[in-house]
Amino acid sequence: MHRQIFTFFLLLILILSGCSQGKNLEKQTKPTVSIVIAKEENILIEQVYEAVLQMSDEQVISAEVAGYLRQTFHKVGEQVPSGAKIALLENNALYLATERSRQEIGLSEIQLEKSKVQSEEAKRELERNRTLYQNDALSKVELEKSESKWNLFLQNLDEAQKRLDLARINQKESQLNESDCLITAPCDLWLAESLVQVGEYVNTGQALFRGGKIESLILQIDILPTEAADWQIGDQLEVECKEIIKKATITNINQLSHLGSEYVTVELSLDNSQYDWHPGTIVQLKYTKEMEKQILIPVEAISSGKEPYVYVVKDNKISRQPISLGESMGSKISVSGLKDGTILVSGGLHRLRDGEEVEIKEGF
Amino acid sequence: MFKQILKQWLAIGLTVILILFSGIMTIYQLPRREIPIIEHPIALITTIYPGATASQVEKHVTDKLESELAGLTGINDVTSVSQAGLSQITLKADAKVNANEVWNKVQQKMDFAQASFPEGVQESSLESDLQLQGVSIYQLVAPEEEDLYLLNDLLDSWESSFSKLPDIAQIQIQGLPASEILIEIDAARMLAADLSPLEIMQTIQSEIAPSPPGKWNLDETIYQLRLNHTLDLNKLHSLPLPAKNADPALHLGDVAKIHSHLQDNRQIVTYNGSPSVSVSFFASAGIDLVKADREISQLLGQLQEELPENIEVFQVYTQAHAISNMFKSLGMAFLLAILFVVLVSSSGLNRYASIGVAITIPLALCGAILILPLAKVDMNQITLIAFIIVLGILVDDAIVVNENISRYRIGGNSALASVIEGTRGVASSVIVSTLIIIFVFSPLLFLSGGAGDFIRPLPTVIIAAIIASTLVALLVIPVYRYWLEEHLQDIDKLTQNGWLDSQLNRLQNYYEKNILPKVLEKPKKYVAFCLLISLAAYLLVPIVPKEFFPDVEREEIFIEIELPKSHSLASTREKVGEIESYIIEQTGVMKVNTFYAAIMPRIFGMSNASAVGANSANMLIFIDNQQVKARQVKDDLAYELNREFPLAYFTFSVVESGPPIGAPMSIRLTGNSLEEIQLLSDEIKQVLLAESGVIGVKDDFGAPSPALVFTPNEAAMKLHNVSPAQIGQTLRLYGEGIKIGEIEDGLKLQNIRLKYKGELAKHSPEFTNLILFNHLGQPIPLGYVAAHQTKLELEHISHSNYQRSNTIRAYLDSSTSSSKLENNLIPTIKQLSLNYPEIQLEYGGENVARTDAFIEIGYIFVVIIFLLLLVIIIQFKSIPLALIIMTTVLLSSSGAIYSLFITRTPLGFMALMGVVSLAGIVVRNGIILIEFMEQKVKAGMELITAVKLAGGQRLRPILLTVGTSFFGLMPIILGNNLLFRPLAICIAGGLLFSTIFTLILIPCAYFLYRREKI
Repeated sequence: MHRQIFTFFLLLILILSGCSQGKNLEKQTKPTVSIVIAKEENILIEQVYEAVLQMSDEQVISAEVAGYLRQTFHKVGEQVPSGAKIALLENNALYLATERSRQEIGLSEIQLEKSKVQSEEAKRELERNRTLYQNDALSKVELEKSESKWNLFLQNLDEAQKRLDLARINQKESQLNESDCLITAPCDLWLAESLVQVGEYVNTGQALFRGGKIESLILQIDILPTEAADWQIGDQLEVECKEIIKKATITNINQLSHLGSEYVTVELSLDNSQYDWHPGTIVQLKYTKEMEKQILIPVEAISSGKEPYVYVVKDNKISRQPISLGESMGSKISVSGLKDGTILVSGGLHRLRDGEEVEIKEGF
Repeated sequence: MFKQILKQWLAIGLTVILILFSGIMTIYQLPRREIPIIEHPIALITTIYPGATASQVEKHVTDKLESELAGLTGINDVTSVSQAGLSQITLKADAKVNANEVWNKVQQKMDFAQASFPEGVQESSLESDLQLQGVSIYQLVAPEEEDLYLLNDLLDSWESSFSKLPDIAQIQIQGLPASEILIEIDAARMLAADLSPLEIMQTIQSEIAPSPPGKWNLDETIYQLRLNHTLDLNKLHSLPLPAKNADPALHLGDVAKIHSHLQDNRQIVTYNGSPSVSVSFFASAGIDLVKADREISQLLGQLQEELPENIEVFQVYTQAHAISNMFKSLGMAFLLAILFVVLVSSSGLNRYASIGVAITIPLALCGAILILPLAKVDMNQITLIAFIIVLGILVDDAIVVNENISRYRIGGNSALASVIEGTRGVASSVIVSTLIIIFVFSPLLFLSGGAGDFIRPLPTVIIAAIIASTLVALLVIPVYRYWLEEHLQDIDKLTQNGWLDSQLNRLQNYYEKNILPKVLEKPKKYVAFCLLISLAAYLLVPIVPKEFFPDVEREEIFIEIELPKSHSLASTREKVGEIESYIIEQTGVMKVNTFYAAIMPRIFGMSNASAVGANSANMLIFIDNQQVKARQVKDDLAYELNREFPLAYFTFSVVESGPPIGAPMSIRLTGNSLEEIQLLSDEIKQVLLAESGVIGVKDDFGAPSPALVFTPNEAAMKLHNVSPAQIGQTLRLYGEGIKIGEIEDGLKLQNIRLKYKGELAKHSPEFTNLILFNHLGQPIPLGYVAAHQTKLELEHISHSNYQRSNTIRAYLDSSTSSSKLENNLIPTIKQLSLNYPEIQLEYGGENVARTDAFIEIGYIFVVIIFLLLLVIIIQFKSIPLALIIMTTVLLSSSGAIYSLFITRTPLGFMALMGVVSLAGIVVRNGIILIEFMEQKVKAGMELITAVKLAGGQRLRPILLTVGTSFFGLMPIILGNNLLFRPLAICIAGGLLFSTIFTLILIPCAYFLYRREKI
């Protein structure tokens, strides 16, 4: 009997040992989540356009005469006062003409001097002959002879005078021609570009330099008509170049500048009385626009089943709420379907079950 | 003839020495590894399609490849993942076909498919060498990531030195910071110079890759032409550009910043938080890993001197360490087992018989070892455990033969006669019992799948050793005994008995005189009692814990960390760095090796660690397994990390001791509609997450990630002379850039990448002003030709056997069993799927793999029972007697279940192997008893006397054979080998239980059967 009881207990112990649970740590199964609050935010949209600075009052300086460009007196990028020399052209024909007219004047002057002397002589001879005639020392024929000689010399003198005058006019003309070889600034201007190299031959009327005024600069950008609708003549935009920011004013919005395409050319002007910005530089035109207030949430707080959804946390319980996505704003997305201030699970949505209780943890 | 053999003791002796010698030599030649090679002919087709979205990759690459592959035979599983810029198709070949032939065919099909790829798709590559075995991992650690950059050239030369080692098949270098040349073009300057990116690209390309000059035929002699053209960074700077109004001429350096730059999509490796380069070594199949490891460390020792001073080398892991540990502990168990077996057999046998038995052990083992190379079995833990199991069995034949010879000798026969008669008397039953063992174990050779490959050495070794031991018992033992009789004059010594002789005699007496008479009085009651106890065991099956394969007590823990998709490599590095330092502080954690945006070296045969994006990291943690247990640390970390870092997603795993089986539970959804699959997946995931014990749910799709969808306006594109390709190109130039070629920089080719300079605008409304160049090279704001929208999209589209699919995997904590979970959830999931009739569900994971394996083992068990019955029926020519003998198998299975239950050992694959092995061992006890009873009854003895006598006479050999097996397994049961404990417990427990009850049940049942017959 004792043995049976002993066996029974032995068996019981063996069986119970089999039934006993091993070390089993019961752990809390509530998942931890970190949270984020859906916030209504102002979004500033910054549009950046690239544009090239242009001069106002742009002028082209052309050659009035043909010739070789011999010398320039100013470099591109320099401010040139009105009338200052810019460059010199060289034309041999013009030079020779001037020389020739100078020679002609000399010759004419000699001729005139000679005619003067001859006419003086003839006059003196005539007066002597007249006296001789009055004294009847001379025949009337001889007197008439000297009279006509004097008249002839008088005409010669007149002719020489006229020839000299003509030579002078010629000289003037050739001098004027030669002075066209010197290119000067028609007004105060900023030399933007040299179109001809020194030594090159230019024709009459050929453009030599480009210049203009840079006290105020001009900008042109092409924008979409939808954007243009927000803009008005007189609006000011920020322009940035090499970390300097200036303001530009819209002077013209030309809807028809690009026929056949839908975009719009906007012209702006910019004060540059310091002369510190130069035409041809690429600048960035920034236009900041405030969008309507939007609810923004981090990308990681959104998952998607049939439609995008978030988990809203309320009383430590989470529930799915469908949302629709708007524009993306960096690490956040604008959404609709959420109220400002709603508490959301900030990430790890795949671990969660709709309706379950969670423990909220701060941070990552 | 037998007489002739007996006299040739010298020849036999020399043969014995030869076998022992060559057996020992073979041991040293057999490759050593941890677990058997599990054949997985797997190939991976990778195709890169830069800039394409997941759905574009699916449509233009994956679908085309798959439709070509669909007709191929020899492939039984095709899965693919299409993700942004990348298509990966994984092929599993049938185990029975020649994988190389299949891969050749696959290569041909790939070539066909590639012909129809759109422009921009890079050539597909086929990688089929995944069945390499990992040897070791080293880390070259530097204080700063920049210091590692210097290692580029050095590691190139290392790679070639190491690949010259005969045993090294592959070297995997990870974390080497690769640099590239980045050309950042300035959009504004290009606008001013009236240049388009296309012109810049063409200029650079014609410079890097001038058209090849071809050949010349000079006087019928062909000259190959070569353009001797080099390019460097300076040359790129001064590359003239075809600008239209530039004066003076414009160079690339004027409109672009050109610089060398660390690649953004690089992999980062850290070792205990410091930047490092990971070098992993792989050997091809069949190589001895210990030897390979030695070669590596020798060469590394030499090469290490070339390293810069601030670089330190650490060996993180070596398979050789694990292997030599395993061999040390199992070798010790093996020696102990031999000691126990010899002790037990000498307890009932005299000194000389014991020596005979002791000779059998090395001889049979060496004989078996000689067969191993032919059977393509190497030294691994399964081989060793098979040797330990077979130890207890292989001495049985020798014991029986020895004992019988002694019986004849004591009976007064001459030496020669007793040796001949003694051997002949038991020869048939020795052969039958050997046949039984062969029949029991040979079906295991045909077990399929990874589990089959895993266990194959066990039946091979046992069958080989048993055949060898039978030959030894029938040839060597008689020769030994004859030699002994001839040379030993003192016959008395031969009749002395073992050291437990008197106790055994007393036990024999008690059994014969007290127990048997008592039970034979009420045989029906005792038969019923035994059967009831035995059947009651099966009621315990549901409550016995189940585990297909146990996690080994290893040092490694793997964590796959996935941060939200929006994380860049830099922010992943920062966040995972926090996690890393948290883990390093935990007790027992020795070292942490993290692979950012890279897979873990495939050294551990981990096939499911797959997170490779910039937002992911794979962490390899080594713990001190003397101080803490891997499984416990894993569970604790899972709990703590999920709490501390809720935004990150963790997948934990430890090394499985068996073949890889993946997640505990997996559900695969296949269908055509991605949307429906996604919706049903979401519902199923919600159901899984609701279940307690589920610590993580993952699927192929992953969390949807934000996408900006640009929709071109056809009319506007026509108006502005813009093509969709130009829009795509522009978007890429603003983002990651476009690779436009390669430049040789010293030893290595460096990529050249072109992109726009500067930061992108943050807000999507600002994207309308990004500049696009049309066909004519005119700048056009992007907003004119395309509208954009923010969406959430799937990053991966996966296919399974050519259909769109999603596999959901559930990971459980250690206390939850997947079968319970499945039983709870499958009805609910089926209900959910009714709403999506187009979608097929398929269940997989550990539970299914286990069920499949259990079913197959069950089938094999039935085959074994029939084979046993066949042998017994042939021997006894009686079906009822055969059935009585087969009750021993029933008893042994029950005993196995009881012992599992009592020791709280999980029922798994190895336990079932134990149950199967038991059948062969215990059935012999029944045969020994019944055979003797039949002999006596046929000799005319009274039934009850015959039964009692048989019980008494046969108790000793039964106890001895059972004892050798039982004690032979003790070192394993008491040791710490988690994998084999269930097997050893099953065999030992089953033997003990079955022996005790067999000694009651068989005499009673036989008594009843004969009494009825008479």
